[in-house]
Amino acid sequence: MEYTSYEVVESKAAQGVAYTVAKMSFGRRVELTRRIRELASRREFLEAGETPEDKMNAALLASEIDRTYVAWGLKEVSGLELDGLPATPETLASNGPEDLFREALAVVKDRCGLLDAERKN
Amino acid sequence: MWPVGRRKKKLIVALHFQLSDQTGWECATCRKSGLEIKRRCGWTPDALESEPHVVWARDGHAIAVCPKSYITSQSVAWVEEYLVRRRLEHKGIDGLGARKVEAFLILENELNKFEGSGGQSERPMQASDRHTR
Repeated sequence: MEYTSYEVVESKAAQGVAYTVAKMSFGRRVELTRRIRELASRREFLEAGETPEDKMNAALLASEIDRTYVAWGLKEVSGLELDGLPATPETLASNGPEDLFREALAVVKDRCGLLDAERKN
Repeated sequence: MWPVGRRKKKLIVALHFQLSDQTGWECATCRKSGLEIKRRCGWTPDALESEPHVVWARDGHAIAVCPKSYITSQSVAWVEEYLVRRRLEHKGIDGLGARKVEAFLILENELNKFEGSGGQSERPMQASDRHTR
């Protein structure tokens, strides 16, 4: 048996762009827990608050969690140049088009086995 | 020996919290009921200025802050990895770092004690729990 620990997914939002996404494994799941859990718990706490500050901080943390998912699961972006340089997962998050970032995020979360409702959170 | 006692405690609390019923510890319910001060939520600065008291206790371990804010991601990751390795009967330590091996030994010891006591983490709520739930 030969196994590849990643897969290449073509973008539907931009022709010629493809995402290389890591497949889930036990070790990677543990790593994801390590990166996400504290942020997710803290976000849960803030979302339960009623002040605008809590809501704003919860939204900020949600963005931070999304960024962490992409940093964790997206290995490579091909077919996309940002400011004249080939895009990387980091530059896609920091300077890339938001629709492509959202698409990459959805692919990563899909490979994590998250349901639609969980993906939206 | 585990070099930092506080980390060891966080790991043990993480194990017992994972094995226990966590439904009473959801932030939404807790904050709506105004319990974050009473439960000394680690994310609420005012709560930590209140008089320390036992907020959560299981199997001989007690903490004076809310367990959700107390447990670290690292501890949960170790607990999850340990429980899977245990289920799969992975006993070797090849490729594991010293801290992880130490964490697994602590968890092994703790689970042996827990199982020896008949798994009290799953016990129904006791009268002594009432003020925290």
